[in-house]
Amino acid sequence: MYNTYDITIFKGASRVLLGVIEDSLFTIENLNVWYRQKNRIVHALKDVTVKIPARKLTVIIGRSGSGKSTFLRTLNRVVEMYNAKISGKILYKGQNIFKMNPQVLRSRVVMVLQRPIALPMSIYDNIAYPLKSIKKVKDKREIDRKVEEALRLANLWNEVKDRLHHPATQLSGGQIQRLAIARAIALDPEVLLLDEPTAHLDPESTRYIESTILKLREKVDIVFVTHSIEQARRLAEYVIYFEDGKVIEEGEAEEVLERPKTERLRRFLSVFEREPEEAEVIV
Amino acid sequence: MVRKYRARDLALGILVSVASGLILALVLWMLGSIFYYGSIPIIREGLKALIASPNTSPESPQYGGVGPLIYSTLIIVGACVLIGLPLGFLTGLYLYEYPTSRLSSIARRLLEVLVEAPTVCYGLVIYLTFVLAIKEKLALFAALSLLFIIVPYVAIQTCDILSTLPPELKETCISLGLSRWKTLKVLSRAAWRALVANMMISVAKVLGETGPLLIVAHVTVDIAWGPWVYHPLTSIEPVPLTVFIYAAALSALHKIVILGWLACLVLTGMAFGLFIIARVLTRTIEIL
Ligand SMILES: Nc1ncnc2c1ncn2[C@@H]1O[C@H](COP(=O)(O)OP(=O)(O)OP(=O)(O)O)[C@@H](O)[C@H]1O
Ligand SMILES: [Mg+2]
Repeated sequence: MYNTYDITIFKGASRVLLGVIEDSLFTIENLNVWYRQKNRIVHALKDVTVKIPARKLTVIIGRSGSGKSTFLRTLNRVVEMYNAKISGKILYKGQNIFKMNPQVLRSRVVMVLQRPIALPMSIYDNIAYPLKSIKKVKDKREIDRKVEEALRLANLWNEVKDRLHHPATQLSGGQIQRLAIARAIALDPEVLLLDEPTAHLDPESTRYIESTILKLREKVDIVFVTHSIEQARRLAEYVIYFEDGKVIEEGEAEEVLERPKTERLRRFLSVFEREPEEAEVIV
Repeated sequence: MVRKYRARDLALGILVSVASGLILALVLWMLGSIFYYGSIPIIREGLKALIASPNTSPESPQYGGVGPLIYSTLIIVGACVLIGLPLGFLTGLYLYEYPTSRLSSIARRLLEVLVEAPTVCYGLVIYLTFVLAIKEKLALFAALSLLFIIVPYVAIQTCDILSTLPPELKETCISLGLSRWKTLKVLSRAAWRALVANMMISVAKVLGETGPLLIVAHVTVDIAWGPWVYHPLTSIEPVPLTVFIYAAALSALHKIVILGWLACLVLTGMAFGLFIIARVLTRTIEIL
């Protein structure tokens, strides 16, 4: 009935089809984002067309102000709270995110902000409250277990286990950052968007969080932004480089970080090579 | 050169100290008078002055008291606050949550106008629409006219207080997947001290509000306890302290004028209490 040619096409098509379903977590096409402020408009993302692969640790790098945070914010539509205008298309696992219920999307694609904030409640409730109100977890023992597990994964448990019911606003910046990570982990999201998750941490905690990220990636898709090329080298499997609101380069980590194709990325990376010691401080 | 500057500094310093000294003296004189005259009935007749009704008979030397007036004030302000605080708060949440919607920007403008407008105008509006229609000065209408003062104030302040929170707090809530309503709950919780303090100040505001009441309420010093206390809002007897002060000032009886001072003292005390609560709440500022 079918000749070989047809079958080849069929195979190819199904592979492409499966590829779309399986290999792409986010498919972004011609994405533009403008922040509308009182008397000016900031064009933060310009015609971004990029794919974020599934089951690969994706790292976003770029200079300050290049639109990395805006890009993450757009993936779970949090950007909409900033009176932003958005055009273009974003598919999440094949679904148009702008047609999804934003709350449902955000509970599946959870984001940890660049400037971490403690909710105005106890350390325990910072994790338990979202669990109760979003995941509808009722069982007290289940919640206790999740809180402890999440705090351990974020390397915060030992520091706070004796004062779980103290106000979280009293924690230090780095502790709040880890609390924010724990809060997000506890929700068992499908995707974790981490915006510079180790920016306020000492090297030890940074390493710990990195190992947690590596542990979590078995279950969760992770996209994170970092200023540290060293960190990108340690963790990234896929890299996207932003400059001035545009994607300049994307691809497998070794390709992009070791053999950059564009002059702009080469220039960006060279800053880190000149002074490897201070690389993490410069940007 | 230097001397010239020094002379100017000195002159400015003297000017500033004299001005602030004058203001201070004025305030002290004001509070002193209220306290001095207001405490006369209490000193003469004890705490009865806070419970009894005014004694309007010219022959009797007894002062009586301002009991029914305190009661009337509490009822009228209470009714207004009970409706006005939640209404103002919810309106404020709306203004905050939908800052760019058309309805919200129009509402905001209108509320700003209401906050600035002379309050006596609301009295006139209520008078023309309700009092003339029913031909009775029910205390309910007094409470209603005060709503025009408390709702816009609380709404605008609520919106502004929430706007001072870091936007990241809201972003955190939203990016966890919390609903709009729960997000607002968390935000209100973060700012609860300022919100409650602001409500206290708004209550103090209506407590001392006189303009609309002079038109809408019964202006008299002839007031006594009676069956009206069981249905105060739907009767014409309640006379709030502010209105009594006005009526007492016009009275020919010296002891009624003194009761007016006592009414001042009571009002000032209540407002002072509210301000102290507000102050204590905002003294410990939580920084997120
Ligand atoms: N809420 C906002 N309102 C208006 N403009 C904004 C807002 N947030 C970001 N921008 C602007 O959008 C552009 C991109 O900002 P974004 O925060 O995405 O950069 P970034 O790459 O994350 O920078 P950084 O590395 O410093 O975090 C900047 O020009 C910034 O000024
Ligand atoms: Mg950023």
